[in-house]
Amino acid sequence: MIKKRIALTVNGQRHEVEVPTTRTLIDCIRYDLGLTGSVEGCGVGVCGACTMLLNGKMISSCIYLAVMADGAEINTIEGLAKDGQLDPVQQAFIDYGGFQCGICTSGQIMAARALIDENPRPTVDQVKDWMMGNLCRCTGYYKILESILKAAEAEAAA
Amino acid sequence: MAIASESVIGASLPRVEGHGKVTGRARYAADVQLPNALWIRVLHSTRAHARIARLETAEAMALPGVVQVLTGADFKMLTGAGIRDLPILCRDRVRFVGDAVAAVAAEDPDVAEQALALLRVEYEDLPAVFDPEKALDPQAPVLHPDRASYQGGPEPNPRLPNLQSTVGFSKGDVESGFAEADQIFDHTFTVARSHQAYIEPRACAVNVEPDGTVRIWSSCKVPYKLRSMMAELFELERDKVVVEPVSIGGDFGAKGPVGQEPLAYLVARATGRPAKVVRSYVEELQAGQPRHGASIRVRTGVKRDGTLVAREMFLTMDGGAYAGLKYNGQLILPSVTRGLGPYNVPNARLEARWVYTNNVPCGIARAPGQPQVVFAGESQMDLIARALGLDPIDFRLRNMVQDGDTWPNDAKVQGVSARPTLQLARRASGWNEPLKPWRGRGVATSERGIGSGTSGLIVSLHSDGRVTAMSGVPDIGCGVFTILGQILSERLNVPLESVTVSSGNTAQALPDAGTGGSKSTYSVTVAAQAVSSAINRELVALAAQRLECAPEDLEPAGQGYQVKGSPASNVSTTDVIAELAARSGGVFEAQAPGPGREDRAKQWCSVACVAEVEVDPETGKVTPIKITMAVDAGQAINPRLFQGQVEGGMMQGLGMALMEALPTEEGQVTALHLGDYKIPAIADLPELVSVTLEDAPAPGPYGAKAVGELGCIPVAAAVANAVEHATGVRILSQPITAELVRAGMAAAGRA
Repeated sequence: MIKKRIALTVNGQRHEVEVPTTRTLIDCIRYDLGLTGSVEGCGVGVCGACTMLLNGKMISSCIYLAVMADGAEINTIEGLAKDGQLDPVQQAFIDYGGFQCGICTSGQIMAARALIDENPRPTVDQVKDWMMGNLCRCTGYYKILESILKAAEAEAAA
Repeated sequence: MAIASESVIGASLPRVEGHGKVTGRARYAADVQLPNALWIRVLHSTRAHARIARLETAEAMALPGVVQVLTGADFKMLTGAGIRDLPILCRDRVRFVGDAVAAVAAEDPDVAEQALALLRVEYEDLPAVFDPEKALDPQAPVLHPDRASYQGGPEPNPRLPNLQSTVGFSKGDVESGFAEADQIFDHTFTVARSHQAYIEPRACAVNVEPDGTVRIWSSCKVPYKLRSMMAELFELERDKVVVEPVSIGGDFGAKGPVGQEPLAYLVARATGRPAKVVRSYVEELQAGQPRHGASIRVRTGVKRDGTLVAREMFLTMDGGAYAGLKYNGQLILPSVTRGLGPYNVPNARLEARWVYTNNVPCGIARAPGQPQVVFAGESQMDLIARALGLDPIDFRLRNMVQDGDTWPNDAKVQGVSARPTLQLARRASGWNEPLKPWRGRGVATSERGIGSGTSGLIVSLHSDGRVTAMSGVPDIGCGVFTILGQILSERLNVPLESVTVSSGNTAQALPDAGTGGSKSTYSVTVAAQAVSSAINRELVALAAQRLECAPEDLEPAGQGYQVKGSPASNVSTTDVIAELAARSGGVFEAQAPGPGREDRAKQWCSVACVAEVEVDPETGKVTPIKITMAVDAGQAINPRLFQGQVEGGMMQGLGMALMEALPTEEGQVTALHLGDYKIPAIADLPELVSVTLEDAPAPGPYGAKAVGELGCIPVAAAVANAVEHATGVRILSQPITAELVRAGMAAAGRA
């Protein structure tokens, strides 16, 4: 097993860690760095539970090797609330019931955050299109849709 | 002092565990990081039915970082719920592609994975059987020759060794009923095996502590059953096994059976280090416990005017390689007996059987067995209505049971709102509104009981006026802690903010039957009421003492008490709680065990669904436009949580209706990931309308019933009926794929 030392900046904090070259980024973030808010669901990049930002771009970290992320800036759910203040997307998911079991929620919120950053007032169809890669088995999606639209509305009004 | 009162029952309060779930702090089993823990990966069989001739572990053991290899020889016992027929690791024989053969424990998950490839297994193939009908043939290979030695389950049938179980009933005289009929309808339906598709693969971590305590973190939703099973399997003192609460990332029925905890325990015991198993989704699909597929024949005799005179259903479910994933001691899914619907039919018969095959073993899925039989029964109700030229809803109403009637199984009907629920669905769906071309509407209805089970609750009053409650119910996401806080706040008449609900481990909390059967809200309500009544008696006595009056001279006023007729003479509940706690040495504690399984409420919860779909005449693709669900699930204690349950069920129902199938080829599940096994995504979301029947009979004082499983039950049948309405094509199998609809339209000359 070949190992390599890599450096990652996660939520603004720099980490150096030695990982097998086969290590996925999600496993590295979860088990080597201990940030377990991002989740591995399907393991093949279709369910979106492992969604995080790598150099500002949304990725499925379960199909991304940790060694490929060497030197990258990564943002995960743990870094979203600032100074104990929830991000408007997090708050909207609480207020509008955008989750039940919560296992897909960090991925949903990271993806929704990326959507609103790119398109501050998405339409229903734009939300459906963007969020297609984030599966949820509990909610039936209605309240996720509502949460995202309300978050965008609240941010636009702020 | 002015005391305001505002009911928290019926308020859409946010989830108490919400903050943790939106910040990534909520802890699931896979998140549990114990220092120095070993990682376990499991090797699964590549053969459907074979003898394990040789299993060579030396090469894997030699890989640096590998600490232990477990094989079937390490486990003398079998496990399972309704019957002990499940090997933890197979000893001499594998019975499906995915059976667990060996496990590797290593310093690192990637090393453990690598070591699996170094395990050498030699198999000697045995004849296999994949079709449940063929498995009942006397020549068929016998999957469990030692079945008679297994603990649990019904008496085996020596002539049908692969028969897992049967259930049925008979009412009246079916043959003479059919003789009376003007017309007899006879159809056979097939329903695909499907997967619960929770997003969290099962995971567990086990540590054996120096004093012998076995501490378990697991995605298992029945922690107290897990405790007893582990104690029994490994001859441990029950109190030495402690199951810690963690959030569970979706269940839908699947996370009840004991999973990989025995593997982790043996590694932890042998190495003195914590051990952890996190399954991959490939394992969840290949070696999970999916919903049973079924073949269902329904025969119905009717009079010309639409009166049902005889009805019978014969169904066979492919149980797969093991039956131990079913909880019921008879190894049946009792809800299949609802297959003949909520209808008056004087002569009725039902026979269901479950069969061992060399396919993936099936288990419990949201409303186990029921969507399958409802697909068949309610599809045929539409076929009959159409043939007789009757409106499908009018035809159902003509035959529908009400209190005083008997069910098809001859049980007396009591507490059923089937009619008003169906009528509500008709009103809410715009049933008679004109439709665009290639659109159709279909209806289906069913009902389900209110589950019940031990749900122990400990409530503590503190000297600062706070109330804390500890429950052993696991959080699978249905919102039970939020509901519990609302009920306690209301019953104890204190502000919601002063109530904190937490989940305890199995040593701290009182026994809980776990979630399942849509029972949490009802069960915790019963427990909360009992505890609150006991506490309130103390509070009233103390308040009377403080206000220097007799207890009967007190009346509630806002969140406190006052002397009748003297509003100035009052005290807040919080103050009385603080004093009661102080007088009890700082904490006053009360507890209740919750209802038993036998304390089931007698009411039923009806559900009726109207699906409006559009069919693409070119491709046959069915697009749901609007799904209306009328539920008689009582009053919502928290409407947003309630609606979330219904909506989630509706989308699972739509998944089963249109896309979900877990197919096998020669026993091999061919869907390897959630890209192959399709579940609805947000883009598949149609307009969802959920409406609640008001004022139906309900057990508790809040009129709450059971909502968790209802939504998924009638959707597929309603969609099938809508497809025929739109196209004239009847699809007798589920899921209703574009290919089937296209072929049907081509055969009918419509495409």
